[in-house]
Amino acid sequence: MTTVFIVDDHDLFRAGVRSELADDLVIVGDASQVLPAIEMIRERQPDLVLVDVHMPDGGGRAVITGVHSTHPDILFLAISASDAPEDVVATVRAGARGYVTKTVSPDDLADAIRRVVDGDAVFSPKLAGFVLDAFSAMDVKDLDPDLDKLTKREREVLQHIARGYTYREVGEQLYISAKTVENHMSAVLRKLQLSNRRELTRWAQDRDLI
Amino acid sequence: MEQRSTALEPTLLWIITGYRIFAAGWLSILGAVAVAGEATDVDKPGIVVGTIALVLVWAGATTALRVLRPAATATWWLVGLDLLISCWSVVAGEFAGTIQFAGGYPLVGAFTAIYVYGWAGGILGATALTATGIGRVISESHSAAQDVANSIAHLFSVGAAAGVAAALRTSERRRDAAETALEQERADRIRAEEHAEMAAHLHDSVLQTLALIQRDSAATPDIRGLARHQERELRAWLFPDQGSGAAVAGGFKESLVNVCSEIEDLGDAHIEAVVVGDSAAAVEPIVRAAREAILNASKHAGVDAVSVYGEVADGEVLIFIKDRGVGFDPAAVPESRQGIRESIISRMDRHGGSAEIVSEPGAGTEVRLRLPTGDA
Repeated sequence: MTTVFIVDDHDLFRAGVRSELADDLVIVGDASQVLPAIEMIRERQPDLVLVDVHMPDGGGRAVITGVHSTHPDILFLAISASDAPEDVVATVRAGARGYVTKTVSPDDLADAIRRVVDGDAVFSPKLAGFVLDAFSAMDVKDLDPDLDKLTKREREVLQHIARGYTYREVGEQLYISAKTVENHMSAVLRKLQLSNRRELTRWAQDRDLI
Repeated sequence: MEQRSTALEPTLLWIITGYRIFAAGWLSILGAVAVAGEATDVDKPGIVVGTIALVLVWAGATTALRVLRPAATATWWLVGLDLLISCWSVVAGEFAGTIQFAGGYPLVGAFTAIYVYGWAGGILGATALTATGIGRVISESHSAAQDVANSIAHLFSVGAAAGVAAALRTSERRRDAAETALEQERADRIRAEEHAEMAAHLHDSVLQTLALIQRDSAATPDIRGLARHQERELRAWLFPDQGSGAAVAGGFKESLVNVCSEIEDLGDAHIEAVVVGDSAAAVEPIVRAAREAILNASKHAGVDAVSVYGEVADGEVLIFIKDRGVGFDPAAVPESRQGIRESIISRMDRHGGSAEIVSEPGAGTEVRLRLPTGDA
């Protein structure tokens, strides 16, 4: 069974998620602080870490970066009560394979975890919107077309996800297989993580300042 | 004159009062020497004695006034009376038939005028003293050189006093202004810090709790709706700039998000709104049509969530409203159903846009709206 580790500084939330997921998944531990979390994750090596975006001492980003420096194979799914785009995009860029809000239903959360473990990128409609916004805001000049631009198909897939379609439904709408949809989303995730850092930083700053 | 409770103004007042007491004593000694001394012969010693009595009483009266009613110092009649007595002290010796015995007393009137009226008071005082001095020179032929020297000394002293008072006051004003600005800045910073701290705290406690309530399957839809509403309000208050991103005031994004919030507050369903890009173009028709579609979905689809996606593309704006509810057969909607026909389809047609309704019973509904904006 899939092993999961929970990092969140809210006891109530950790306890709630633990009991909700206990039926389908094995919770191998939880932590409320960044540094203990990194140590425990390295020690227990779960399949996936559910990590809160907002925490003292660097938040989910610090946990992801710390673990990935020694264990690049451990997967991360970001979760947060806040929808601030710059925080979410920054966490995904640090290496999270997806993002869900804390209002997600237990079933959807379990589903999202399974999909990340299966190798998919999990994009909520909100995250799809953020990504579309971020890429369309990038300056056209000095772009690496392979990394800094979405293909027409990738945009279409993102738009459908932002409209509320599931991967399977997107496939039906666009006459492609669900697997192809997943591949497109993985490509988008890779671009988001690797693309022109300066431009995305500027996008985040612009949002922050206005 | 706007005065703050600084130390400068009372200090100036006490310098003048101190000088007045000193000058009154000086005048009394000079007068006494003139009357009692053997070097000169005084025609009318009564005038000398009277003048001494006048300046002593006046000094006592004004000092008492300064202690008891400081505000009364600045009245015009008091300044006028002070100047008059000062001018009298200049010519008193003449009327008494002796040498001048005013000493430095005449300057007191001018100083008071400077204190109350600034430079204007200085000019007034200098004019009065000089005019009196000149009058004396013209009426009498003897000791003219002494009178001219006195007048020049008066002019110089008054000018210097007015200059010093003005400089002191200017620097005081600047310091006050700087202090006020500093206090304001400090207050603003403290307020901003308190707000940030409270925001962090509420974010960590209340927002988390509201999120937990929303995902609690045991809570009734009403409770979850309430938690959603509270979360949105709190979020808007905590992070007024967030979520709107580079929003155009009154533009597409703001209008659409406002409509979604408004309908969500009716409590029927959670409206998940995602908006990409923004436009200041006239988007009212499409937002109104979208409002109708969102309202339909939240009221009639029988679901607790509706997805709304808005996008500003090249030369057009798009809005998609999707639910996973009961659905219906669009072809079977009766003519009388004004909501869909009039408010959505006809409205989009009239404004050069289009509306497409994709639905079938049991498979949910998606309304797709499209409006050209002209700006590519």
